[in-house]
Amino acid sequence: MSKEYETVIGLEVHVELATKTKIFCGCSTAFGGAPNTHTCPVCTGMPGSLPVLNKQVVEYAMAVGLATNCSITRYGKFDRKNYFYPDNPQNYQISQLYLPICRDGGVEIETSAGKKTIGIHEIHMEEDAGKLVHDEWEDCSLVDYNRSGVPLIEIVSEPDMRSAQEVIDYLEKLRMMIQYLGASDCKLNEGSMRADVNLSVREMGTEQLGTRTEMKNLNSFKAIARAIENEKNRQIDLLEEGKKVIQETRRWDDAKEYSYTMRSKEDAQDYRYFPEPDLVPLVISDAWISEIKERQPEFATEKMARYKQEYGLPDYDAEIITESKFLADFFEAAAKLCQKPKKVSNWLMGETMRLLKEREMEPEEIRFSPANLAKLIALTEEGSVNSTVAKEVFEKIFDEDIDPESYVKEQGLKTVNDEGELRGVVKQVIQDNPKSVEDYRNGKEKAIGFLVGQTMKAMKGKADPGMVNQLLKELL
Amino acid sequence: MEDLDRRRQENCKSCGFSERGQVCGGNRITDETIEYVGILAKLELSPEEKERAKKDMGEMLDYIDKLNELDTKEVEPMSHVFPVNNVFREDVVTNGDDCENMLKNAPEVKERSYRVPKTVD
Ligand SMILES: [Zn+2]
Repeated sequence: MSKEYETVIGLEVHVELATKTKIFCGCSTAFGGAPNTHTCPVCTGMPGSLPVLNKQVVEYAMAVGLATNCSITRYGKFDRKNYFYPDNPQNYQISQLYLPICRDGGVEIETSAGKKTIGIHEIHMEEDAGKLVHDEWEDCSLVDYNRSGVPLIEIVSEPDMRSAQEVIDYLEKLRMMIQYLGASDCKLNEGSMRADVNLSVREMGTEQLGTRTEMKNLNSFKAIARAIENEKNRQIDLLEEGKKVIQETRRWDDAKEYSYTMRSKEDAQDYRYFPEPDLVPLVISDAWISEIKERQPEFATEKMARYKQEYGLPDYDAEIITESKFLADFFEAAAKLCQKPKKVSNWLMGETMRLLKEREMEPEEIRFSPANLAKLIALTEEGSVNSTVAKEVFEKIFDEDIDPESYVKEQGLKTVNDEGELRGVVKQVIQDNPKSVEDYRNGKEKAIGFLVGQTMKAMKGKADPGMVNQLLKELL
Repeated sequence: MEDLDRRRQENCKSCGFSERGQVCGGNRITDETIEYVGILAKLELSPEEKERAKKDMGEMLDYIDKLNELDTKEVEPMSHVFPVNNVFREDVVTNGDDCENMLKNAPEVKERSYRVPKTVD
C-alpha cells in the first residue's frame, strides 16, 4: 500500500424498546408466542384501524436522548415511509423523518489519544416489521406479525468514528446507558440492538468524504469488527486498483467473513415520505422533560464513584462491575444481603469472571441468585468452608444456582474444626511421610507444604489449611 | 443514511418526483414519470390508462399550482387539521390472542401464518 488511508465510520443503531405493548396498539411485545398470536387490526395494517401512540415509547426515547445529550424536539410528528414488502402489512412504516424526537447529541468514549465525542445526529421512533420465514417445502414465504409494531428507536451517529475499536467503544457505551435506563436489554445476538455500519475511506489528510457503503446483518461485536476490517480493505483495494467504490448496501456473512451487494444506489427505494395523518402531533413541554430528567437513574460513572466511596472498592473493580447494569444490580443485592461488599466484589471479579469467560457468557446471562452468593460468603466468613471448598461450591452455584447451605450439609463439605480429629490425621501423615519430615527437620521449610497437602487430601479438603499448618509445626 | 440523503435533496417543486434526476416540465407529466409512479404503486397500466392518468395528474398539479400563487413564506406547513396534540395510550396489554380471527384476513394460511409468494431480499 503506497498511500495512507483513513476510515470514516457512522452508525445507525436500532434498539428495540422494553415496553410491554407495541408502539401503536395494545398487543403484547413478549417473545416466544406462537405465530400471529400477538396481533390485531392495527399491527396487521387492516383498513380502518387507527394507531394510538404508546406514551412509554416517547418517555424511553426522551430518556435515551437526554442521556446522550441530545436536544428534545418540542413539536414532533410521525411520517409514513412507503415500501412494499410482506413483512410490512400497511405498505408503509410509521417513522419520523422531518421532526425526529431527539437531535444533536453525543456520547463520550475513551480512546488511546484521550476522550473523544461521537456525535449523535438524531434519534427517532419507529415501528418494527414482522418476520418472514421461507418455507423449505413449498415455494412460498410465511409471515408472522408478532414483531410488527414493536417499538424501536433508531440512533443515527455522525461519521465520527475512525476504527473498529471506536465503533465498539461507542456501541458499548450506548448499550450500557440504555440498559441502565431500562429502555432495552440491547442484545445484539437476539436482535434487540442492531447496528448498520456506514463506512468510507479517504486518503489521510483529505477533507472530502469518500463514497460509502452500508453494511447490514452484524450480530455481534466480533462480527462488527471483522466486517469493518474487511470492508475497509475492500475499499482501499478498489482505490489502489484505480477503481471506484460504489454506493450500495451490503450484507455481511460472518461465517464466510465476506460481504455481498444487497442493493446499489440505482435500485435504492424511493420511500415517498409524508406526514402520518392518523397520528396527532407530539408536543413535549419543559415540565415533561424535567420529569424524565428527574427519573433518570444513577449511571455508571456516578455508581462507580459511590462504590469506591461507600464500599471502598478499588477503581478497577468498581469500573468492571458498573460496566454492566446487571452486574451492578447483582452486586448491590448480594452486598445488602451479606453486608460484605468487598467479598462480593472479589467473587464477581475473580471466580464469576473466570467462569463467564470459560463458558463464553455475558454477565447478563448469569442465572444464579445474589442470595446464594451471599450465603456462600457467610459460610466462608464463619469458617464453615475453606477457600478450596468454597470455589467448588461456587461453581455449583454458578451453574445450577444451588443453595450452598444445604449443599454443604448434604455433601459433608463442612470444614472440620475439631482439633482432636485433625490432630489424629496430622499424626498419621507425619508417620506415613518420614522423608518429608526428615527434610523439614533439616531446614527444608518447603517440605511442610507437601505435608499440608497430604493432610488436606486425607481430610478430603474439609480442613482449614491454616489450622493444619499450625498443628504440623507444633507436632514436628 | 439513504433517508438522510433524500431529505437533503431538493424535490421538483411541481411533482415531487425528481429524486432520480428527473426534472418535470411544468405540470405536464412525462411518460417516464407515469412509468415510475406506476412502479412505485405496483400498478400495471395499459397505454390508455397511462394517458388518462397523465391527464388526471396533470390537472391535479395545475390545481396545486394555483395554491403556489399564494405567498406562504411565513406560514408553517400544516400536517393536521384538528388542534389536537398528545393522544397517548398507557403501556398496558389490552389485546389477547385473536389469531384465529386475524388469520381470516389472510389471502392464504399455513402454519398459523400468512402464506405469501416467496420473497427474498
Ligand atoms: Zn396490535
